[in-house]
Amino acid sequence: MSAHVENPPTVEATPGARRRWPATLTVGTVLLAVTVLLAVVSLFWLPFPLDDTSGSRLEAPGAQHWLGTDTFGRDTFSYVMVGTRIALTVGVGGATIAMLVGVTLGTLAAFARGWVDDISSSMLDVVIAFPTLLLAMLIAATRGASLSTAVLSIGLAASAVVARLTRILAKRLLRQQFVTAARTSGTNAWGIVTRHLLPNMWPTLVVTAALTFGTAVLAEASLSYLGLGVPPPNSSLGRLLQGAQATVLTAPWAAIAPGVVIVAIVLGGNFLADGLRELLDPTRRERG
Amino acid sequence: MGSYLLRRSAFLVLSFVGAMLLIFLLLRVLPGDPANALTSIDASAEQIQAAREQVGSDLPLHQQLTSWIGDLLRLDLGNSFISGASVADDVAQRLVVTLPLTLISFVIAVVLAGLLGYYAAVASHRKSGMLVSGVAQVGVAVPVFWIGILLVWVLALELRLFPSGGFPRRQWADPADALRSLFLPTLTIVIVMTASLTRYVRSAVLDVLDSDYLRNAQALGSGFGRAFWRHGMRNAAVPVISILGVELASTLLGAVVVESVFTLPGLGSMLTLGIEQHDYPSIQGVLLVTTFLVLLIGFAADIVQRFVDPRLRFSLSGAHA
Repeated sequence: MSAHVENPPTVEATPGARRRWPATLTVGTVLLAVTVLLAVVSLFWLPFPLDDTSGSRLEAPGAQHWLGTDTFGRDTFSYVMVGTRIALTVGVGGATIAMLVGVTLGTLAAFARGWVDDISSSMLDVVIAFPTLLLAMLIAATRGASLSTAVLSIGLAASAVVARLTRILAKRLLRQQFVTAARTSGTNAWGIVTRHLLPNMWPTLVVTAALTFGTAVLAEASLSYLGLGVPPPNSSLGRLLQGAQATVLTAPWAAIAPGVVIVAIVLGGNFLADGLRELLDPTRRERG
Repeated sequence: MGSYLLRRSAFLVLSFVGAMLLIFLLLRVLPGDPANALTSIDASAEQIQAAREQVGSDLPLHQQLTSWIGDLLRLDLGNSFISGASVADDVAQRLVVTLPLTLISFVIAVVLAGLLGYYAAVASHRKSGMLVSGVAQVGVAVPVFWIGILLVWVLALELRLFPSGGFPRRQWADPADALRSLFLPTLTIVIVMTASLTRYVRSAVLDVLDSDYLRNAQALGSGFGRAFWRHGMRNAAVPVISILGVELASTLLGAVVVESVFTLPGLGSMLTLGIEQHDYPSIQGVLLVTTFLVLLIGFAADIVQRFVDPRLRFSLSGAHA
């Protein structure tokens, strides 16, 4: 449900090592490519407009309605396509906010010394103890459900984990001799961050971003299942599942399809993360 | 150990105070007056003012904070805006559902994940071992409520083996009846949590299998089973225990969502209901209790970890190394 940072996925570059293309990277890319295609097509074309109630009630999947219809006779496949777009939007948006905020805060915290360091890391621990979903629910509840609230609350809630990971990575690097050398030769803090910290942290951060993407998609699904996510008419996948739960006996396909898409997206992100980790860190190649 | 315990306890208290302030501020600084819950849309200015006085939102922020903390110290979580009932009583009523659901699911998931993760590591080059890791990989990508919906469909509605939701009105008066209602929710959480934990156990056991000390013990004549039992177990347990706290917290949160699928009268439904009705005292009460439990779990996990790993017991690092 939330990402774990107890064992940060460290990546140490080995120059000149022969890099093989990991199978997980292919699988992850294919899964995400299919869902992205579905989402992009939904911008220009849908089998039926979302407000089209011309179908009969709870129709079974067929040539016209590929995934059947809902209780109002609306086309389920069209709704799944739009839901896929929303899931990807929240995933990418949430992960972007989490990375921007998390990496900035984590890097700043790494430079802190003494009691500032103690307090900032304790505060991060408190925010992390607050599970992503609870924090997102709280923000969504007070601000009212909308797409931007979902993206913002999930992104901010996930940023604490990223910040803690970044702080650990940056602190480790700040103790290295090449950083000390750069400092003594007069490089300022900005130069240390852009020339030494970020280039050494990015492989790990890219992997983290891919994992955060999956976390964000799952969190949005749960939020909208509980009625706190992206509101109608932009029916998201979690809301579709909530609606389909009541009619699962007569229309099981509507309760299956949105779930399959969520799993494909999250699995795609996780495989992408595993693949990138393998690609960027040859010493970990043995682990699947 | 003693000084560590003291420091870690201080951190527990501090982080709870921090979380309290966070909850307090989030619920008050964000737009929307708590008194809105009491008034209709076309309420007059006097009605709104009366509601604000009743809720206390007309006072300055620091006065609200001090009176709130005073109430908390007396274990008074306030009264629901909607029903007027004591929030503390309501929370206690609902913990009777949420805590057993969380704990039973967690224990089953830990045992299953221990066995499956060990097997997946030892058999990592065989098809069966790869199958276990593959299923676990898919399992962590599945939304927990979707598993719940699928289980209700097949086991409750099609096969009619279990109730599809609800909880006996007399709660645990008839334990068998209560457990029957908890069966499907528990199974739902167990599936997701086992998948997540199995991956950690597998990776911890793989690390141990790679180690020199295990190879040495075997070279000195121990069989694999004996060598793993004597030397491997403890080393594999350390990283697993360190994530158990996070995983238990995550189980608690899974329970909150799963309660909605099965319409269980637990903390989760209290939270979603409170959010729907803008019932701030209820929302606040659930969040406080949940956060306190999560922090307490983290505390316990850290202490147990010190106990299992003597290397940590003698390290000088603080609560957040």
